[in-house]
Amino acid sequence: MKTIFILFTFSLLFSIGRAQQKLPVTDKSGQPLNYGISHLLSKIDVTLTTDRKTKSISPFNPIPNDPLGTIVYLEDATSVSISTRVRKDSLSYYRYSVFENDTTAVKSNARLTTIDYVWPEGSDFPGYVTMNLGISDVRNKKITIKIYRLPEESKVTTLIIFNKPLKAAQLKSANLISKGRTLRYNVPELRADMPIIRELNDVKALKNGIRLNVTQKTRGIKLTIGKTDLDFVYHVVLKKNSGGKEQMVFLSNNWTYEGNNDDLFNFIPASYFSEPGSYELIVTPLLSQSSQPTTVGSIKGAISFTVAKPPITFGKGEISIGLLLLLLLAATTFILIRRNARKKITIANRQAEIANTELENVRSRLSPHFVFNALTGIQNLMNRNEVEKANSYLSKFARLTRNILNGQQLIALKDEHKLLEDYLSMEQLRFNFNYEIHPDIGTEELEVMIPSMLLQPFLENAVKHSMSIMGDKGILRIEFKSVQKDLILLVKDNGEGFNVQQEHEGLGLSLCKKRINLLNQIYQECPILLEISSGQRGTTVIITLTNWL
Amino acid sequence: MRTLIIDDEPSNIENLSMILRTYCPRVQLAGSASSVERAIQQIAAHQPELILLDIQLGKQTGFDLLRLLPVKDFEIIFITAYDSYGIDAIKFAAVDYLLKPIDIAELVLAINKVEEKTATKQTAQQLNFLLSQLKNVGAGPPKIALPQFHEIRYVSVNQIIRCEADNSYTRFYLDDDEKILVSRSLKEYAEILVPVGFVRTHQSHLVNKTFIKSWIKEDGGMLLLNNGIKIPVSKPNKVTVQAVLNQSW
Repeated sequence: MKTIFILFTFSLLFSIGRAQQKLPVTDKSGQPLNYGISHLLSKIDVTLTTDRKTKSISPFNPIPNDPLGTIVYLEDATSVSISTRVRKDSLSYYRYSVFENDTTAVKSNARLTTIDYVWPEGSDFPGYVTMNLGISDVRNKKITIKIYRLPEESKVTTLIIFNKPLKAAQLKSANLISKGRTLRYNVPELRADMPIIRELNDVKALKNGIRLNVTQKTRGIKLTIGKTDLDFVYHVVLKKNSGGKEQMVFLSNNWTYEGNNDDLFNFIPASYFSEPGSYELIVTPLLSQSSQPTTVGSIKGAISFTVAKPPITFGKGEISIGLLLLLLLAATTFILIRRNARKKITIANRQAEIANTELENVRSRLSPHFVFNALTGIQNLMNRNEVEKANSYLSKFARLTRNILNGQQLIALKDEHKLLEDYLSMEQLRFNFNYEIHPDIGTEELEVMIPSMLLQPFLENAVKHSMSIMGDKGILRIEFKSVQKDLILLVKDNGEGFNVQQEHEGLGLSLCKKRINLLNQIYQECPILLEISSGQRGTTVIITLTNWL
Repeated sequence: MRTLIIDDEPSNIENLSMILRTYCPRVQLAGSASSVERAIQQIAAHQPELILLDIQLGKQTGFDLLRLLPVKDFEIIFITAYDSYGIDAIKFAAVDYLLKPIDIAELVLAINKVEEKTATKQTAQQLNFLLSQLKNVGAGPPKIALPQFHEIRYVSVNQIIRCEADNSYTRFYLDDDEKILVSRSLKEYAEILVPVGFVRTHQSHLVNKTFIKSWIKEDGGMLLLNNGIKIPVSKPNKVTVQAVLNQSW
């Protein structure tokens, strides 16, 4: 980082050096040369000619932050001639102002009135006139020209003719700024939840030869200089000397203006002088890289200071760094754990999605069974001319079908109850067995949502294997119970039973087990348990929905 | 009770007439119609007290018919296929409806209800509400009709913070602290409110997503609402609730 900065500084100085090109004042025959001095981006051509007394001229210098600005440095010039070439028919659109030494307005939004030369037909610029701006005496002056063409009043071309020695910077103060007390206060009128926080600064004069400790609290050095003739020429330079090697660590002409006086402020952040070593701080006009500063007087007001090595004992800074590191570690761990958890959730979500799709698949295979049974039942009733029964049968069938078509994974226990009742009453018409449903739970618990068609396959099994054979001796009993937070669904028949261990269980049953497995992948915190016991005196199926209430 | 049957399939009219004659002797069949135009004539001619109205009427709908009637001084029972157009709006408006094929027991029940309905006749208002809901589908949050003993309240769903089961009743908690008790089960309201941004958190709780502030890990997971109320999330519903929260946050 630091190397980059130094490289940057050098390139900056190099460019300053390049820009500060001194060019001849006269040609070989001793005639003063004309220089076009307006910026390449400017549409207004301004030409400058100096007198022979001028020792040097440096045109083409940019003004920071002004794309249409240029500055011309002159040395010991007495008079100059400045003119601009414009089209004759647009002459009346030009306005210009001239200021001397930033204070005296010589011209203010004036028109171009003095004709230097009218370009004839057949010349290089037919239809143009060269107008004189009426500036001559430049002795020890800074002349600022602002010129624009109506209606583009905001596109002002600025020209500074600087013909005076640059004075040494007048350093008014250099202060070391550190973080001070923090004030917290609430303004009740604001009705905001946040208190207003003000961090105060500790200000300490940076005296020559001072020895500093740069800590976490150190913010930087604030410099104040008095008004100058050309602010941006003045640079703050911080040099570091360690082991006999001198290097520039900070260079800035980025001045700010505060308060109601003409002072200029600059700030060196603490990071530039945090390393131990001896430092030298100067403020100087920098025009060229050349070792001989032509316009600069002796460098006054340099401040030397030393940055001490940080103490080995744990200062507040170190403790806070330590804490910070610890915090960082904690945060990293936290983020890692969280990310891991997120990942797990994503995986779980994906698994749930897959499980859901498979569930849908399983469910759709469960339904055709009784659809066709029901249709057969209706057909039987029709043929027996039992219209009323057929009607009721049909309504029940419609309800069941609607429920299947609805495709909802979950159903209120209350509705499931009704569907089981519908289903059993339909099958009862066929086989004339007995059935009872005992919902031994409260009305609110009947609202609980459970996976739909959970009991259906077991009822089908019981009807198919037992009730169909036993007829009016068959008893099928369904119970809903709640034990603490568990919901228990029970189906019991008095048939002959079957071997639970047998592998070749019916398709319905295996699908059902698969479905419960899939459901348990989704509802991991409240698994569904299936328990089947079968013997001579009947079969009991217990489905426990743990934690569902 | 003078009754009209409006259905675009003559066999349906015949079927319904037969059922009514057998099971609802007090219903006096005044006529029937199988198109909107015929229906308007029949209504003008017979001034029915009850209309059994199929939603699908050829290319038009029962709603089109209602829009054409300036005065709706009759009771209505919609008869509809289960996935018919406008069925959701009918549910939101709390208007009676029967699904095809007709369940005789349900029909008898519905007819009895119409006959008993005496004190507050809200049908016209309810129907106008229904039509306006249909017109404004997708424009702003829907309103829901909450039938009370003496009146029907129309509440915008985004005013409802939550619903809580109270036996087979449902208590609505509105954002202005008002509570409304409705004699229908939470399950019925879950069916129509979940698609418009509610989430079932518990067998007794239905919550409007927009009022959820955060998820708190108390007692195995609860939702903290903007008004500071905590709503339990039962374990089976946790999956759904978290999925919903992940979507919206």
